[in-house]
Amino acid sequence: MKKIAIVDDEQDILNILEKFFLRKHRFDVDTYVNPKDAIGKINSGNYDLILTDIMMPEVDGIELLKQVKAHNNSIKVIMMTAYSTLEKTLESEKLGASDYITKPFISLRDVENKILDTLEI
Amino acid sequence: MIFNNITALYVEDEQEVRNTLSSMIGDVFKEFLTASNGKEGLETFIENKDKIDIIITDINMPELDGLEMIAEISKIKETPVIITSAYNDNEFLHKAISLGVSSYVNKPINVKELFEELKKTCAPLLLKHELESQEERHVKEQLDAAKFTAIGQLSAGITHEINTPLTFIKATFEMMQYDIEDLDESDIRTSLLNDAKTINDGIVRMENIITSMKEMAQKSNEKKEDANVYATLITSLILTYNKSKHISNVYINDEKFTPNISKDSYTFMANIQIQRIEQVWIIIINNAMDELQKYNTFPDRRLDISIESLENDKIKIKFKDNAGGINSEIIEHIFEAFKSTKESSGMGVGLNIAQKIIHENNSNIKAYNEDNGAVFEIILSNDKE
Repeated sequence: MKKIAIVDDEQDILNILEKFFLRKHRFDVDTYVNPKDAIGKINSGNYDLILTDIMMPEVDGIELLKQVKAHNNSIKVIMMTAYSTLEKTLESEKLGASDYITKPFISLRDVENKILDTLEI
Repeated sequence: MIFNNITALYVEDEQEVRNTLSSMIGDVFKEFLTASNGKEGLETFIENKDKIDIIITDINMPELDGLEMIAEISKIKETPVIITSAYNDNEFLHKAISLGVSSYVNKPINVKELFEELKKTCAPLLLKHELESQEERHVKEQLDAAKFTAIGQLSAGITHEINTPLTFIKATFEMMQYDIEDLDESDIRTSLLNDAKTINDGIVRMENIITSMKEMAQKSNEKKEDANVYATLITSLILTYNKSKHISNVYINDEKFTPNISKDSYTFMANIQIQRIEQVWIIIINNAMDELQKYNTFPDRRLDISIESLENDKIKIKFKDNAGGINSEIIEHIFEAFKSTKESSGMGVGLNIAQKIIHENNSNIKAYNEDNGAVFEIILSNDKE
């Protein structure tokens, strides 16, 4: 089973994503509410894909993207954000992000589909 | 209304003369006060000294004559004076000049002559008033701008604060619906699913408002660059192709758009905020697609985009669909926020944003109906900064 890490500073958002994926039994999901701690765990955790928020305190999603990509360039990263600007999309694309999801999500199923597409399942 | 900023005091003891002149020229002033002798003139002046800009006065009057009155008034506040007099001998003129009288008009008064003197005397006053009102307007504009900035920051903050709970409310509610769907068939299940629909509608509406507010809150600090406007149109068409390909054919300068069309087929250079302008095209294209979707079927729907140069380096871009046109009640307000008829596409402020961006680029946008469709026409003024 593919291993996924979700990083968001909002526990409620982590809870619902985790619940959704657990129910589907499709991925192995870990969640991290503290992005700073998450980087170390991700780098030693053999994850296939990271789903991360962009606006977070201390370490933002762009920084997290840079660091996990620097450690393992084949890891897939999907960005989540409230603000979908062309600039931000291009910036994260340049840094190697695979996809971009705006909040609120179109649906949890849409999030799932984007993950499946990215993992080419 | 050439003296509509000016308040005048007219002092004349002959009632008939006073009334005639008042009725002839009183209306062109902001206020035209009258007094029937020097004493009354002085009293009126004292009462209204802050607003009287100019005095027109006769000389020979009972109680206090014109020159005595002027002498008193000049001690209170320096005020331009035009005297009306039947005599103009040297001694009298010297006295008048020493009192600072600006000019005089012979009696009987020739209105045209008086007007010329008034214009000369009032010119600096008019300028002063004009500058004052400009200053007032300027201060007001600054206050308004500050207010809008504060409101903007506040709403950007609120928008973000609402967005997060909205995200997990929406997602949690989606989960809840999957749980309800898993229940055995029952009245309760049916009822819950019905209620879920209502809640969903509400969530979608809130989401649309929040999305729009996010778009509005986005700051525009993008620099203007020289760019090929034709290329920005193609970029926007590529970005919206995902949606448009299912809805309608799009033609640009009569050529059918496909994603591998060249961006350099035409060159129309302008100094613009490239991404913001692309955002405008995307808003208009998406709007057209939403309208076209309601009309006809695929091969009959079309969006025509044309771009051409006008004189003075201006560029005209025209988007024309064949979706039946815009409702006449809406078309007048189409660029106001939340005036759209759309309930589900989240574009309630789209055109408002588009207009804002177009204005930031010193250009104009208008909407009208033509043939069987709506037209959005943008004139880009190509002035380099």
